Amino acid sequence: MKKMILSLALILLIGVLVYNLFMNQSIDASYSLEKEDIQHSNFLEDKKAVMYFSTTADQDMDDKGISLAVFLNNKGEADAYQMKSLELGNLSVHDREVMLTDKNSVRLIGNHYKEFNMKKSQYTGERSGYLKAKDLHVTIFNTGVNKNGGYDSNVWYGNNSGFQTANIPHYILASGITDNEVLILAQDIEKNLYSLKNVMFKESDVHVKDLVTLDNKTNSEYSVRSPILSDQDYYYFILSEFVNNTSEHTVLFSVHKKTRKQEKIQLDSYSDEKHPTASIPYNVKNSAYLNNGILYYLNGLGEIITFDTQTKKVDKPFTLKNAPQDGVRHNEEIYFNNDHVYVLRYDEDTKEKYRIEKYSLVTGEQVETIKINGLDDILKSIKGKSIHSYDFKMLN
Amino acid sequence: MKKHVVTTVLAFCLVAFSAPSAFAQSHSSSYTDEILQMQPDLKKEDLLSSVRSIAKNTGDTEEAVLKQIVKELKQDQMKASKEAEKVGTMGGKGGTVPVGNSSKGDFFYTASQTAYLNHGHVGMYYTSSTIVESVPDTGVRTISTTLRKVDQGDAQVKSVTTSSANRENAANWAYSRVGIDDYSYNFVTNRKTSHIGDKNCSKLIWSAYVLHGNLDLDVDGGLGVYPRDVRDAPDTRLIRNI
Repeated sequence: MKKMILSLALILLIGVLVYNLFMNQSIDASYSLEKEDIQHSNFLEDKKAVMYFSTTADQDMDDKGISLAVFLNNKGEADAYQMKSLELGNLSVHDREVMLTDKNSVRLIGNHYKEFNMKKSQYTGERSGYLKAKDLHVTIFNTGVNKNGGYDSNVWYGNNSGFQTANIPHYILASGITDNEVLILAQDIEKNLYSLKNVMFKESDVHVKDLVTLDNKTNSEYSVRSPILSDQDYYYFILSEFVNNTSEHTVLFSVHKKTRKQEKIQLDSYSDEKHPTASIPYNVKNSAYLNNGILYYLNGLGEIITFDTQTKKVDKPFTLKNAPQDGVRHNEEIYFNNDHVYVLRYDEDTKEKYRIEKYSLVTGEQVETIKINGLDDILKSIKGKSIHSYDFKMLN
Repeated sequence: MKKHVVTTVLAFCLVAFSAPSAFAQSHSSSYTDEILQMQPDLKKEDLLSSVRSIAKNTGDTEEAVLKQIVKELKQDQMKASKEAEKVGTMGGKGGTVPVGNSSKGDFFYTASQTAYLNHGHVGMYYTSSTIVESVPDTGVRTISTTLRKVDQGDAQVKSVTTSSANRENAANWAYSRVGIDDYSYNFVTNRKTSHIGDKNCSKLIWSAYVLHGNLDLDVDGGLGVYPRDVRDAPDTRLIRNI
């Protein structure tokens, strides 16, 4: 009997040890933010950046998938707030307010903390952003095919006063959010059709309007490479045109807002049998930006490709320093703002491992490096799950 | 070395936790407990119902069926442990990669962790740039090959050695289940369950090629088809390691 009790105690002890060493999904307490922390009205005051990480949907088998919002303060220290998982989850930032989304809820962090639990869980994100003209945070999900055979992309939208739900009845290949509208490139996978649409937010519903269906006489298959951007006259988006399993063309589509005339411009081409995915941007949802009439696109090889919207000239003005060429990612992310691009980088040979590099879009020079202390420890403390980066925003 | 220690400890615990309980009232309940320890999301009543049905159809005893399930689960776990060690030895750097494009009817395999074990995961190419896969909560879904991230080191893209018509039809069938079939936590007897209805990732691909090509993409047969069983099936060919 005594032996039996001892054996059981030993098994229990080993179990606890194994759980803590290899399976514990809780982050290291020294880097962990509690709910009370993010509820403070001054929480964001000393925060410089925020990053979003999540496990993928297939790892949520035990309902123990997680997501993390990692905040970087002005001292270069990272702390993480843990939530439920949301594959491809993302962030909305506006005027010192951050919206965090997980599979069950939205949280508004800033002067007034608010949390809204949603009735229906979501498992895959698409895009979040802020509609300035409507004072609305919006988050769109890739919900899936409904029981009637149609496709649902559910939407949660709102502000401190409350959140509502709506549905965009399309599979979304690419998306973008401007000050007053959401833009989507809907894909009919079976028919290989691609349609640009805008989504307008009314008081209690959303209205989806067809803009144009892409001309595709060659029946090319396209993959997303950028967000949908908009200037005064045109919509722009970058897609990969499938050539074969290891080759692709990078093409820019422009659609005139009034005439709906569309143009396809080849920006680049890529072919590599060994590393076929290497040219895919670090994050296709944040990979392009419009500034002063120039469209900037940062591909997965670290190359900035520009398109002058006036002259239509394509150029490659500069490349990130020591950008990996093999397509293997270590949570690299992109954030464009005004004349700069910020890139979350990983370097195994540095003490901190992670840093943010700031490049001038005008000169191509690297103008600042921000080391991130603690991010590597945070990510390594997640045991038994693979966690991936899905969004990154600078806050000041 | 660290990986070796990790693998050894995990292997030890596997054996320790898997050992039949001294308090078990019978072999059957001991096997049931073992299975539910290794597949905790599987409901006991679903397991037992499935076992009863198999026993009835095959003439085997329920205990024999349960014993077979335990054997298959342990085989899969041993594979997982060995692969974890191999990735460590080969210097896996822990990066991630978009799964990337491949041809319709091909599939990818990636390690997939739950709190309980690395059960692996497979998904099929519906088009060159669209994956169809079954994931918990959502069921059968599609996702872009650009957005689907997998761990670099032991992920693979493979093709199925059959006619292009079979590959086309198998992929079309898998896609036809999107939004219809929910997820099933039952890996242990999924070879014996209906092709139509709730299914997990390996069952989706296995059923697609059973129905369209009469292929059995399961390296070791038995009662359950696990993601690694599909990956290692003889009628498959490696396209690229990720």
